[in-house]
Amino acid sequence: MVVGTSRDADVLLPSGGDLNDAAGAGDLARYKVRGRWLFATSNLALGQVISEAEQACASCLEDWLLGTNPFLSNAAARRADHIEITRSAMPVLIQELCLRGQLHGLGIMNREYQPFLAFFRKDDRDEILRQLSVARDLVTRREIVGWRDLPSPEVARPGKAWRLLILAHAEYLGLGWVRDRRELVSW
Amino acid sequence: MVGAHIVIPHDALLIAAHGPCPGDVVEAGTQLAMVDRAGSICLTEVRRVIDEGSQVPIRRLLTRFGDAVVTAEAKLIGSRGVVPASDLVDGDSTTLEMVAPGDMPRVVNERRQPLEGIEETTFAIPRENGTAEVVAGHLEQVLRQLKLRWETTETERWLRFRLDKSPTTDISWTWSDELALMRSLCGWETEEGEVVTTRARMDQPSLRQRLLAAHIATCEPFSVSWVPGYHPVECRVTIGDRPVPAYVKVLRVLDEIGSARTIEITDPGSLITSTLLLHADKGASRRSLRPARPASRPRGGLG
Repeated sequence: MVVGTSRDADVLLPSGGDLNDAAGAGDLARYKVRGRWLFATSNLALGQVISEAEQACASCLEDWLLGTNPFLSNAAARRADHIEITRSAMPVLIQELCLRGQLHGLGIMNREYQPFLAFFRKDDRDEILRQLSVARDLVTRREIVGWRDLPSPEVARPGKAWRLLILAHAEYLGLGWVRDRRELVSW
Repeated sequence: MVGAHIVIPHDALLIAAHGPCPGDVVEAGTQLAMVDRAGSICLTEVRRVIDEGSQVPIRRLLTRFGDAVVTAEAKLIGSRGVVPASDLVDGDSTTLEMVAPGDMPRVVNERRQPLEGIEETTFAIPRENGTAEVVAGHLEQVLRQLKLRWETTETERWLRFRLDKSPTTDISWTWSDELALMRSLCGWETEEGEVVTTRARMDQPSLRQRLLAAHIATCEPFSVSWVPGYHPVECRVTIGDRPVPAYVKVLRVLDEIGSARTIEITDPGSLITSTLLLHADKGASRRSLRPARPASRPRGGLG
């Protein structure tokens, strides 16, 4: 069972042909999600696809605490077990999960001052709030808060990417500015 | 004469004779803009305020012209009649009637206080896209005029203003002045030396409300985008001369818990809140505000 977008025609229809024609003929299932068409090789209910995407994302975020695209969508696509979800379909499903409140996000700013999200699980909301509270407290008391200054999460997570994302969100909130991606400097 | 009762969240933006104001500053004698039963836009007087003080379910309706804050039990005016707020869902095809700022009663008694009701004192303005260069001179000039103290910090990416806010008195300050100041403080993108886009985060409701209020009060055309659309963390207000539609879709519905009060107005009809129409119940029977259970979704930018 494969779920993909129009960019995955070679996977969805290995023998070739038009995806919409195949959907019309009943050879593919088709769903409109967030304004994009997703196609599936089996007649799956959209709910099953979304559930699979949620589990795959949750599996990644259980390890990472926070994750951004394209890293999250690429990794979740690899972890999807029962349904193969392509790398182009996963971001669409992640957006749908956010819309439904099944995935949450912290605002981060890119180089062009446009916001994007660092995603996290509902279950980790308290941990995220705790980390932000610590970052906020530290930056009011010191000039510089480094990624190492954030406490270990109550459930251990390997890697430091989440720490950098917490600092990036703190900058997004106007608590200071991030230097060299690893330090939050107080205003 | 039997008036009408209406429940107003403290965070709602109402259109008073002196300009847009939050629901919690409305008092007996305040004149509020409404659409009467004959369909005319007029002013109605607040007879009395019953401040319940309880926390109730609130719905924040995001549209292309701002966010309207109503109680979950509110009724709005839609293209097909009265629409319960509780029926609205994200991306609903239901369209709600809106009132263009240019059609609202003209603001009288323009004497204002700068940055009234805004909690923020620190504003970080983008540097690398040229916005800081455009607004810095104007900001310093205005802050000097207001006799406010401030300090700035520059980094490669940001120009940060920290204001030492203190009460100001006897200053001739209009909504146009307020809009110019807000556009500099919240400036985010510029074009040909002018701020074209301002920005406020979802966790900055008073700042956002003040920015939108200034646009509404001055009838400066604007539109709002909520980004990212599937999980908004901020709003972008862009100036522009696009025609204002008669009806608008609700892009997102955010459920919160907030304070609300019941007010009695002299005339039945629909109160203007943000740019939408809130139906007022005729008669003296008062709905009690039931205490709310915690909302399933967190409020503000987190979540």
